[in-house]
Amino acid sequence: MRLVAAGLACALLAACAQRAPAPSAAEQPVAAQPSAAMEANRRAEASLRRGDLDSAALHYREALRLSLAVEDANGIAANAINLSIVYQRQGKYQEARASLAPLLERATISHPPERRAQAALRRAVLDIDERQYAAAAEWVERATDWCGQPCALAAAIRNVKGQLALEAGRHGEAAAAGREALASARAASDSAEAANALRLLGMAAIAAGDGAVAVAPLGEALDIDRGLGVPRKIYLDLVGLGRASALRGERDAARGYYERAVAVSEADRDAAGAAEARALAAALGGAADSR
Amino acid sequence: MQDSQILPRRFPGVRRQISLFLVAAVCALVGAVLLVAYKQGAFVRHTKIYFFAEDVFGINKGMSVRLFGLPVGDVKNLEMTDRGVRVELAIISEYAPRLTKGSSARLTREGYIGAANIQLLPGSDPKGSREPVSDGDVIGYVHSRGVAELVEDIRAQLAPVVAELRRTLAEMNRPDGAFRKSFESAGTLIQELPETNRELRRLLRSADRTVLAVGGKADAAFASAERLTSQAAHELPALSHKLGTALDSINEAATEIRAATRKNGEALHQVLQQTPALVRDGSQLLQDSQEVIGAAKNSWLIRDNLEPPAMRTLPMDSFESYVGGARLSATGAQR
Repeated sequence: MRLVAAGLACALLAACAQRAPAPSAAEQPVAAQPSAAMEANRRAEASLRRGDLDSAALHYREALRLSLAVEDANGIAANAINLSIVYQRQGKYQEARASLAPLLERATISHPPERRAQAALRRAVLDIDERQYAAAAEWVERATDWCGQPCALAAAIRNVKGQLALEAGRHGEAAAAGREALASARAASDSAEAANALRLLGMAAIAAGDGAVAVAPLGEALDIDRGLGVPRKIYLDLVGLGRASALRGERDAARGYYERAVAVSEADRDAAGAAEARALAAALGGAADSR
Repeated sequence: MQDSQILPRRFPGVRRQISLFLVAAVCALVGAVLLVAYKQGAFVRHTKIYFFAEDVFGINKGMSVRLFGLPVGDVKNLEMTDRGVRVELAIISEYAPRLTKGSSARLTREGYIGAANIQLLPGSDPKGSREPVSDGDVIGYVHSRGVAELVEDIRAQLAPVVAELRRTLAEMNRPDGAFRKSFESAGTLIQELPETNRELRRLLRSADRTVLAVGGKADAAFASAERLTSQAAHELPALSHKLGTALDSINEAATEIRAATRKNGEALHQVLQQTPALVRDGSQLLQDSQEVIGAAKNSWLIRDNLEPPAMRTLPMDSFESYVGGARLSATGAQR
């Protein structure tokens, strides 16, 4: 009886199966290229997970080349954006900008507005990294225009606008952008951007000199970032919490956050971050002063 | 009266003979004087030339004047004038054409301590006058350095050498100097030479004895070798037999190995022949597997649970600047 049931199940399964649609003659030579580009894309992603930025850049370059060779718009956009992220993490800003050119200045084929919005947002983030705030503001406005409504990048765009406001000293505007970004991120279930928005809120409060207000969003951001497992953002949250505590006059608590930030940076092999956190702890003064 | 003036007949013609003798004597005297005068150059014409010198130490009247080493005149007169001492030279006129107006004179000696004389130096200046000197001409005078001056020169040049030599000797005599130390070390070494020599002799004697002893042992060793050789010669046939047997065994083993290798080679050959087919089969199998998997993926049971293959984009991070850079410190500094 059982054998009969199993046979019937197999027959049913076989009946549901069908041959993959055969590629047309025109598409056949092209079909191999996206798979190669995809393979390079996957290898780059694996390298990035290992923290091997050089290898990641190499594979993303190869993936971008293969995508350009077959005019695969989606592949071009994905690999150009990914390559710009890797180059930015390597500190190669010029190369990062150049890698976005196939989507922006030197686009030879049309790309969907969402992709162009992503590229423009990447340019804005790059410009913020290089303190070119005017250019960053222009690019983020373009990203807003291209993204349209509803916009999947709304939370990220608002976070970038909030950073620009914070850099310009417009703390209230930065906090408002952070709140909007938080709402957008929660609506889109984008926990990473939600954490960014919370961090932005905390930073805006610190900039406004209100340490008490900063603690709650930074603590929440810390919880989310721990869940996501992003050491550098955990470090940022801890440093922000340290600053907020210092503003409140809680030097011991601030020192504790800074020491945790040092430990996280050292574990993440971020010597600059560890040195920065140590300097902040040293700036607090001696232990006797804290009481 | 007339009878008293008559000379005695005893020396007839003596008056005439005396007169003849006196005439001959006078003639001989005059001849000798003329000869001497001739020899002294009294009948040679001289050309008088002059030179002026600041001093005439070593120059005397009558001093010989030489040209190319030949005496061509002498110093006739020394006279003090406003330009110095004027020296008058009487040059035999025969040699005067060989002296030009640009000639000069200098005081020389035959050797360092020989007789002094005046040496005439014909003019060598090509621009100078080539006209021969004539009576009353003034030629130049080259002051020659005397022996005393030469000695002074030599003394001046030798003085530093002597001083250096003296200093070197002083250095050599210094008790703590390198030379004395080297000398003392050399002395010690020389003192040790006899002992070294004795030790060397002892070593040689010891080496000699050792060689003799080794020679004895070598004899014994040769004897042993000889015994071994004879023993080997005695046992060689048996060993040869055993070796032949062993070689036969090895040969058989090699034959077996060769046969096994051939069999393995044939098997390998067969495997290699079959490999392409196996690879083709494997490839076909893989293709079939892919088709089966593709078909399974396209079945509604699996298709809905598989992520469609797509190019993955990294998540857009609005805080990428903070993640990768050190802007935080600057931002913090502003605060």
